[in-house]
Amino acid sequence: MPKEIRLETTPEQLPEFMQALREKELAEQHGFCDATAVEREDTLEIVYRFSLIARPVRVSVHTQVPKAKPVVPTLTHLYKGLLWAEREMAEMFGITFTGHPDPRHLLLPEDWKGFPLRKDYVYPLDHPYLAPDPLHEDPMKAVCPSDQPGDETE
Amino acid sequence: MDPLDLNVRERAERRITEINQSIDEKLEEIRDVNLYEKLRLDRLEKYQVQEPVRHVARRFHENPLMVKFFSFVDHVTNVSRACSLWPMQFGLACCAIEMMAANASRYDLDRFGIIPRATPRQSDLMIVAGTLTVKMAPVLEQLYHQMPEPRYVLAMGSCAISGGRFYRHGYSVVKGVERVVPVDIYVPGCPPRPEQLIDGLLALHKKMRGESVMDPPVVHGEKAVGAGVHRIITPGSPEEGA
Repeated sequence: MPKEIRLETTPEQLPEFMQALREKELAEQHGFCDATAVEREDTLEIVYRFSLIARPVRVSVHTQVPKAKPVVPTLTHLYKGLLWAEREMAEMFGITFTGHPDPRHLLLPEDWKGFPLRKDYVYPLDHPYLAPDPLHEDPMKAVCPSDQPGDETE
Repeated sequence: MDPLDLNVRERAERRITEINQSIDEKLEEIRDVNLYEKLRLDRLEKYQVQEPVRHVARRFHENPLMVKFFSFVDHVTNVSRACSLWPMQFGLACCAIEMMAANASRYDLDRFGIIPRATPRQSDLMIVAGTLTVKMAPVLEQLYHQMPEPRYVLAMGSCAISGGRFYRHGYSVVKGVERVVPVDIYVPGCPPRPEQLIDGLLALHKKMRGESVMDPPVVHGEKAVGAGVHRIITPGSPEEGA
């Protein structure tokens, strides 16, 4: 099994931290794997994952931003692969990446409202394409009785 | 049955009453839902088939000789249309794999005259195979309007019928293709096997052979009125020979 290394930092120090990590600690050949976000109690946790080429080591960098004001400096000047990953995080979780060169939506339509992967996301019940079937008495119950909106714990 | 013996006028009147009755029934069901009422009226207005031959043919309801003549015209055109049904490739998800398998040599849709086309301008049928998302929906609607009339839509698989397993949590999945374009045939399955797709196409053949230029202008996908009422045509069901 590859060795897992977990690193944590604050959003303010993130660019310097990653710059130093890239130049000193991860100086050997490595690759950016993935970047995603996790919703915690009152913060959003952003995870950047890397893997070394020559050794069985995986590195993950975690940072916490408050849900009320999720603003993080972009890292696209270090890793081009983050261009799309940050756009996806921005549309799915509502995180603002300051300095991103192309802050459009990646997967969702441009006029989309809300952030679908947040737990407090409200389904658009008035959208003609997305509203549940009106002939069901209670569409949510009809589909999945044990899956009420209040029970959505992790 | 000899097509010349059909009493076309009687059949047309029966069809008008059937359509009106079904619309009234659906209206009763969805009276309280203004959204769906609006969708239905939009569909009636948008998808009314404009075929000049229908308006010409309907002037001769009283003339038995012309009725026989147009019955013969119906037979020829319907058989021609049904036997060269060219579908547009609209593979959106895993159902497309089964659609490809049905087109390949083992199931060989070519023996029914079904040859996939890569452009809507040469096709009569759109097989919506897979999950339709909100971002893709305007594209599907535009391609539908680029198809020449008469045009048909076959919804293949659970996602295309109702959103399927994305009904509850799919934030971006359209809950059924019928909310975007009128659907003629529903083929259930996740994904349906090629045999099921062939069955649906044969049901569409039967539906096409029942059409007549003496009928009033029809709204394609009239059965989809009242979104969510799925009528799945299977062998032996009363609607099979419709």
